[in-house]
Amino acid sequence: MPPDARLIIGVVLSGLLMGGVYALVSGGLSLIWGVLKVVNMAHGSFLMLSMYLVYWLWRLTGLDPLLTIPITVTLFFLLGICVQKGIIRHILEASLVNQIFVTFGMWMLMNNLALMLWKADFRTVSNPLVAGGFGIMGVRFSLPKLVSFAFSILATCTIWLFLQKTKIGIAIRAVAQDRKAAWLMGIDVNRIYEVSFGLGLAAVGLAGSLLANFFSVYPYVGDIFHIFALTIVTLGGFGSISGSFIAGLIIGLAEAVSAFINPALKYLVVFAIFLIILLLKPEGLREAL
Amino acid sequence: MKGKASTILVVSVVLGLLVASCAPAPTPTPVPPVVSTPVPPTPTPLPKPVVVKVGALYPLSGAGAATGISCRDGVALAVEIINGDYDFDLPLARGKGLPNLGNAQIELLFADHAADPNIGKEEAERLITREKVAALIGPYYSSVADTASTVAERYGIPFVCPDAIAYSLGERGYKWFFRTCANNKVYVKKAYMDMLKDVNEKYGLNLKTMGLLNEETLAGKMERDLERQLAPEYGFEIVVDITYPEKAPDVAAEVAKIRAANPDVLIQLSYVSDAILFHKQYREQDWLPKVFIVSDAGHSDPAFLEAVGADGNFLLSRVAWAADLAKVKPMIAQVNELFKSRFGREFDERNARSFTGMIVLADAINRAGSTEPEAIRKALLETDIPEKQLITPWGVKFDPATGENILATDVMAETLDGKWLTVWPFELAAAKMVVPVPSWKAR
Repeated sequence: MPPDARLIIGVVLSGLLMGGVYALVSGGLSLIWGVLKVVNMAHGSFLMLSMYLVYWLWRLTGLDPLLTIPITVTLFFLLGICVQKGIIRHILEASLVNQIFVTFGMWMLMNNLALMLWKADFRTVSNPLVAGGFGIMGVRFSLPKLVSFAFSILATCTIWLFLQKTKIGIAIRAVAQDRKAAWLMGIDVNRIYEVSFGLGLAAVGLAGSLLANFFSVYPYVGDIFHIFALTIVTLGGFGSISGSFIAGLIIGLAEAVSAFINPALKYLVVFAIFLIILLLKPEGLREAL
Repeated sequence: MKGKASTILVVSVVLGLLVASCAPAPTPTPVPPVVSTPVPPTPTPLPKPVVVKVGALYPLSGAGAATGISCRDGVALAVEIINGDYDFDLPLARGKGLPNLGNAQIELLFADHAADPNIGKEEAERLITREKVAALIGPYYSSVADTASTVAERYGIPFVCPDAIAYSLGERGYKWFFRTCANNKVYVKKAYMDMLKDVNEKYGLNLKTMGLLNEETLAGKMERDLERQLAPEYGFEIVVDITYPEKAPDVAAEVAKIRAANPDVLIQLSYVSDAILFHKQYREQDWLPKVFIVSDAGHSDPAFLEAVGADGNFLLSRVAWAADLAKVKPMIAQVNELFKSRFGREFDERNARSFTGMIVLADAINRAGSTEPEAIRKALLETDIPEKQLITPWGVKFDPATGENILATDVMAETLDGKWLTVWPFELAAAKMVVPVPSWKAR
C-alpha cells in the first residue's frame, strides 16, 4: 500500500473507533430521552463522575480501569435509579424549559462540586493494562480505542437485544411510544422510568471506565463529550439507540477527517453537521425506539 | 404597590450594577484633580527615607494563585536578604538595607490582581497614588503587565517585570518598563534555535526539517509566529504546522499528520491535558522526532510526567533557572536552603525570576541614592550586573530603547529518568544531553 493510503485508512479507522466511544455516551442520553422525554443536560457530568470513580479506584486499590467495568456499571445503574426517584420524577410533567433548567442545574452543581473536592488538577491513570498501539500492514491502531470500540458494540447490542426481546424491554418501548396507553395496560410506568434512567447512566458508567484508560480526568472533562453526545443524538434521531451508534461513527469520522485536513476545522465541521441536521432533517437518521 | 415599586427599584439597581461591572471600566483618572498626568512629582529635597515602599503585583487568588504565591515568596526572600545581613555574593546581601539611603529598609506592599488586567490596572494605580510606592514589580501575566505598566508609564514610576514573557511588551516604546527575564522572542531564538544549531554541530544529526504543534490561544499563536519567522533563518524547513483547539477529545488525526510529515525536530506548546493526550498518541502511532522541544507550559506541570511516566523522558524544555545550576554556582544552594527554611519547599523557576527582579530593582534604588522616580529610572538604565552575581544563568543590562534585558536567555533542560536536568548550554549542563530521542521500541 502506498504510504498516503495507509495514512488515510489509519485516520478513518481511528475516527470510527473514537466514534464508538462517542456512541456509547450518546446511547444513554438517547435512551433517557426516548423513554422519559427529558433532555439530560447533566449527562456529561455523570460521565465525569464515573471517570473520577475509575481514577480513585485505580489510585487507591490499584484496580485497572477495564476491571472497574462491573463496579461502574452497577453503581451508575443504581445511581440512575436514585436520581430518577429523587429528582427527575418530580419534573416529568413540567415544561421542557423547566426540565432543561433542572438538569442544567445538576450539571453546574456536579462540575463545581468536583472542582471543590478534587481541584482543577488533571489526573491520569498511568500504566493501564491496555495501552499503546500496533500496526497491520503499516496502518496504526490504538489498542485502548479498539478495546473501547469492542465494548461499545457489545453494550449497544446488549441494550438493543434487551429492548427487543425481554419483557421489561418491550415494556420500555411501550412506555416510550405511549406513556398513558402503557399505564392502562398495567405497566408500572415509574418502574420503567427508573430502569431506563438506570440503563442510561450504566452506559455512561461503562464509558467512564473505557475513557479513563486513555483520557485525563478533570472537573470539566464531561462537557465536550456531552456536547458531542447532543450532536450525535440529534443526528441519530432522539430516542434511537441504533441511530445513535451510526451517528456516533459519523461524527467520529467527521472529526478525524476534518482534523487531518486542518485541525482548526474539527469542531466547525462537527457543529456544522449539527446545525444542518436541525435545519434539514430534525427527526434524525432513524426512528425512535 | 409601594412594595412592588421598591422591588422593581432594587432589581433595576442590581441589574444596573451587574451590567456596569461587566462593561469595560472607564479609564481611571487620578483622584486629586490637580495632578496633571505626565509631570513627575516635583523633586523636593527630603531627608533620606527610612523605608522605601515597593509595590508587588501578583495573582494571589483564583486560578493563577499557586503561581502568584510562588512569585511573591521569591520577591519576599529577596527583600529579606537585602534588608538583613547575609554573606551571599548577591548585590546588597552583605550589610543591612540600602547603604546609599542610610541603610533604609525596603517595605513590600503586595496587591492581588487575580490574573485580571483590569484589576491589575486599578491596583497599580492604587499603589502609586495612595501608597506612594517608589517602584512596581510583577505581575507574571503578560496581559496584566500590559495594563499595569501602562499606568506606571502614565505616572512615571519604574515598573520592573521579572516574569511576563510576551515580547510585544518591550515593543511599546515605554520609558518606565524594564524586563529582567527572557521574552518569548529571545528564548525561541537564543534557546531553541541556538541549541539546535549547537546540537547539529556537536552530534552531527543533520537536522533539517521542523514541525510546529501549538494550541490555539494567544501563547501558542505568538510562539508559532516566532518559530515560523526564525526557523528559515536557521536553515530549517517547516514541513508541518498544526494549530489545534485545546482540550480536544481526540488528537489521533493530528498526530497522523505529523507522523506523515516526519519532521526531524518537533516544537510543541500544549496545556497539560493535551500534552498527555498527544504523548499517548505518539506511542500508539509509534512515532517520535529526532529532537523533541516542548515549551515550558503543560509539559512542565508535574501532572504530565506523573501521567506518562518513563514515556515522558528525552523531552527538551526551556527554563529560566534550574536547581541543578548549583553545580556551577554554589550560591544557588545557599539561597535555596534559606528559601526552604522560610517557605518549606524548594526554590523553583518562578521564585528565581521574581527574586532576581527584586534584587535588580533594589540595586538600582540604592545606586540612585533616592526614591525619586527619575533617579531610579536612570540607575536602572545604568544597571550592569554580571551573571556571576546573580542566581540566574544570565546577567542584567537593559536596552534603553525597549527596557529589555539584553543578557537574558533561557537554558534547556531534558527529562532524564523522570527529572528535568539542565543539558544546554553545554558548559552549564548538569547531565549529558541524550539525542536523538530513542525510538519507542529501543526503550
